[in-house]
Amino acid sequence: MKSRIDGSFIFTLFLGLFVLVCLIFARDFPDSLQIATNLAGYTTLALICVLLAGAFYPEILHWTETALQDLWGASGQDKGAVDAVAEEAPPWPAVLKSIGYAVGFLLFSFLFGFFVVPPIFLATYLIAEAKVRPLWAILAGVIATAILDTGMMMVYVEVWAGIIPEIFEGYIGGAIMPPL
Amino acid sequence: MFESMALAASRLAEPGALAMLLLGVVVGTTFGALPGLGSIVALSIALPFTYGMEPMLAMFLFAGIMSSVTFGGSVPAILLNTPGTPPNAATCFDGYPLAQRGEGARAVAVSATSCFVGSVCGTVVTLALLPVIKPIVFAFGPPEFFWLVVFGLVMIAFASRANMVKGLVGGGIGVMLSLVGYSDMYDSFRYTMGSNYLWDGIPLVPFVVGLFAVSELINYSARGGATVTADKAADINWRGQVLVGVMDVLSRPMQWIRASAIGAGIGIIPGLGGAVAAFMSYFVGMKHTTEPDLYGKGSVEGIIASETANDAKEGGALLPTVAFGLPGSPDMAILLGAFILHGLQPGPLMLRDHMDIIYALLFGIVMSQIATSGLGLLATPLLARLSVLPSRWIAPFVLVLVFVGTYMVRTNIFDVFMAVAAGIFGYLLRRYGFPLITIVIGYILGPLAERSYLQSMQISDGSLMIFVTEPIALILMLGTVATILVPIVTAWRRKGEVLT
Repeated sequence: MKSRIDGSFIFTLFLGLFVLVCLIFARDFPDSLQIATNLAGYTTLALICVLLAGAFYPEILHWTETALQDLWGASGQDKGAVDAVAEEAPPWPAVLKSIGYAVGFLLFSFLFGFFVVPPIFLATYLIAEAKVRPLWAILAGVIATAILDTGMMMVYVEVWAGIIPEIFEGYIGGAIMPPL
Repeated sequence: MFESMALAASRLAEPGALAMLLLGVVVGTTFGALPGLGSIVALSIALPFTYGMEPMLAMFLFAGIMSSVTFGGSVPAILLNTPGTPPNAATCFDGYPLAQRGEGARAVAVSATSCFVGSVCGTVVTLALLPVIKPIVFAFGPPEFFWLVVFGLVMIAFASRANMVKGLVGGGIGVMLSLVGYSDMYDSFRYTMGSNYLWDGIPLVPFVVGLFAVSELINYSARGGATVTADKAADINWRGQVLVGVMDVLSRPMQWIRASAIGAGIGIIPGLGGAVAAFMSYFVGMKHTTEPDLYGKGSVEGIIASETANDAKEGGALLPTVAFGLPGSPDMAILLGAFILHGLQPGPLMLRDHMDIIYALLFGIVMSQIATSGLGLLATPLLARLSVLPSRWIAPFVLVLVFVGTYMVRTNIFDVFMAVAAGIFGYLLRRYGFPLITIVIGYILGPLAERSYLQSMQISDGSLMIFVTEPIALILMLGTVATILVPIVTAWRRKGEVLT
């Protein structure tokens, strides 16, 4: 039997907790600023409860969805569901690898800056994932970074040099972290 | 008036002016196509370079940038599902499915042609309304503004369509996220958790770019393959699609006239941005489409609705900017700075003494749009081939562009963190069937609705009557209520007929 507590349920639960925490914190706001929070928050929370209950009692979700569809939707038929998931989702290991690349690129860029990390990232990705020859991958990475960094400097944008202690002035390290 | 027109037109024929226009077109298209950047960044960067330049030449440069950014942003939105600028997000919904079907060139051609007609219509509206602009702009106070935004929020229900519960949840989450930040009206912080970064709220550009572009890149690179499979690509006639795309727009005059009217109308109202124009037009188009089965799944009418409104908005936004010094959109605020830098004082005096500059801007917008759309159509068969390239060749480059583009807007590295966080969040939303479109609408319109409501209440000393006593507010309220009630009444009557 398929488990009712799947990824969708956990994610919806997370959204519900997020809204709940927002509503709790909203009690400290001035009255006027609570209106939008409460209006959006309680409505959303109620609908999230319907989604969660739908995991165990599908008829609740089906009834709500059908009632809303009858009023404003596509009358139960899929008449161009905007942005709905149209294709099968890729497997989690591949997704986590993609997220890993993005997060890794972000963290290394934060540490070492936009002069050093993009060519290494581009070359690594192209060699490992796109199976491009190393020489072409390295060339592509260096050229693309050179164009971007030169472009930024031409329009007087300070290229992020990384948060590590300064190694080459203005190029690697020594960037001033903005207030967080 | 005609002297000023003739002067502006004659200056436009000079080589220096044409060079400025073309430079603006190149800069604008490039900045539009790079995810995260857009007209605000492009205009901000161009502004100091125009110092010392003759005002009219500077205006041609700005006109070139303003009119070409939208088309530039639509190209990655269509071919890679990565909007170049936030207003292009609405183009993704129909552009990308068309590209997946191997009709990328047709979609880009539809966008180029829509941008052109939108720009011309926006300019015509500006020219027509210049003499009577004052009462129109001043008729829109906070109560009218409130109902207009509420109408946009109501559209969340229609945008959800076949996924209603999750769509409405998405809209609510979007509103909640938009409330983060400092409220200057009540000197109060909401959900900033002591962070200085969140004082201004969750920034629009990293949020929207992350939500759409980064999430799509995660999906794109994990899935592998290409937007269009190689065997399908072999049968595609890219050049033939360009003509089909042009004809798609020209054969649907009602669609682009309606979108132009919405775009120009929203542009005139100060404070509403391009994203609002594009989404409003998209949803109104959804209600009146001749191809409901395709809308949101690769309908050319969806692209016409969003891209035409996007460009028509520029003309409309110019009106309050030149007539009162009230910027109609954020990029118009930069233009306002440009006027002041060049010694021009926007307002009634500008309308009296510098009509040639206003005409130069308007003619410049149309001329550069001709150049943008013309060059765009010529380049379309080549651009559309991007959709055939393996996703793992493109994904790393687009990710680098997203990082650099997001960083450049405010040169704040934490914006890149925000884009990646929004991207992961967006991916999970996509994976579990929550429509991104409703989140963006809630996020953009939520704070506008709250602000106009609170302002109205302050003006009326707490009386709700202000929302129904002003004539335009009353009309807008009735329109909004009708939008909600008509489908309910229709559904009841339909049910009654079935029972009998």
